[in-house]
Amino acid sequence: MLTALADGEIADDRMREKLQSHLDGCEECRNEYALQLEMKSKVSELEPDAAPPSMITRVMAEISHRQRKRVVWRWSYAYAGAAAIVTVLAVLGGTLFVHPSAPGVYKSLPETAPAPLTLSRPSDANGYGSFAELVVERHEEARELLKVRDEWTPELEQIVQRLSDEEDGESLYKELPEENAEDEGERAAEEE
Amino acid sequence: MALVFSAELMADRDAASTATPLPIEAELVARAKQGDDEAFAQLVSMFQNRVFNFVVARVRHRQQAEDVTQEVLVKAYFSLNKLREPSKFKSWLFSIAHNHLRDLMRRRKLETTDVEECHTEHYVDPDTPEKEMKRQRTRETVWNALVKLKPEQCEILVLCDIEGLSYREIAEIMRVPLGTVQSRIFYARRKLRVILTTELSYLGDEI
Repeated sequence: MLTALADGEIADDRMREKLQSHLDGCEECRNEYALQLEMKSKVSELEPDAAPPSMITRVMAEISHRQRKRVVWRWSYAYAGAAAIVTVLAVLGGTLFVHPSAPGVYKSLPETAPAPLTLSRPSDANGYGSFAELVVERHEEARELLKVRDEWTPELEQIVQRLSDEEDGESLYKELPEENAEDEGERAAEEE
Repeated sequence: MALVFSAELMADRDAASTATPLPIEAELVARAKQGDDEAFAQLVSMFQNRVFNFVVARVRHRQQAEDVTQEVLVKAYFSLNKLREPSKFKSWLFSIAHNHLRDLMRRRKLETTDVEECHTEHYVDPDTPEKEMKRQRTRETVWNALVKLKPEQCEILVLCDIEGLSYREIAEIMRVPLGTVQSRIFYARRKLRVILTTELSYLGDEI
């Protein structure tokens, strides 16, 4: 309360008088009040420092710099947003029309489309007529590749089986050191 | 002696300090809010020294105090739309400075060098050099003592005794209750007295 009295913060007259009369009879509070007033006076007498004269220029220059930066950032966000929307639409479009990971997606299509594999079949001079046409084209290419794989897989398996056949206990790799041993034996006989 | 400290008892000083804002200040704030940069530049020229003085008491490093002041004023420009009452521009500006300094303290980005670097040499009257020198030395000692206080104590004495703000304005700036403002000022002055007694007696001066 003494601090508020020293700072002129007590508006109520009766309260102020009450405090003053208390101070008259209480040395401890009187000393405390004097200390508060004295320190207030010391700090109030301090001469404030002045900001450099260039402060206004600095502040206004920084403001315009940040405003320019904000505009650039706003455009960057706009571009990034547009790019994100295009990407999402492309991914969604691909997922809705073709889902390669779905089981039997190619088998589910009718067998009555034995068109030969062609690299491009534009319906007009500029390319594919529609997205659906592109999907059908890619589907047929994939079918051709699967057919080739089915034809060659058994033959390849047979070749692999033949090469790694271990029924007679010998492999291509095991024969090599024996041949080398025979060569060395012949060479030794010739030397003798 | 039990006395109740209430906001009602303190109404007068607060009313006096807030009811007399510079009319030009509110007008400039209104213009600046509408995008008038010239009006904001005028506000900067009106308040830059006050903000700088508040900051330099805490930062203790002149160059850094300049940077912090600049940042506070730039922040004020970009937050101007958040200011509801143009008449409270000054205390609003101090609250930005207070929050910015607190953030810097949290991130430990405040340098602490001797305050003597911050304060410029004052004019010395050649007729009474000894007396003037003593006064100047006392002033320097008070500055040094002030910055040795806790940050919130230092800030509160600058706001109350140098800036002449009311307890209510200080409470709004520091976001503390009125009772806390009063007790902080009380203990800050007590601590200041202890530091000054030690330092001035070391210099052979009296308080």
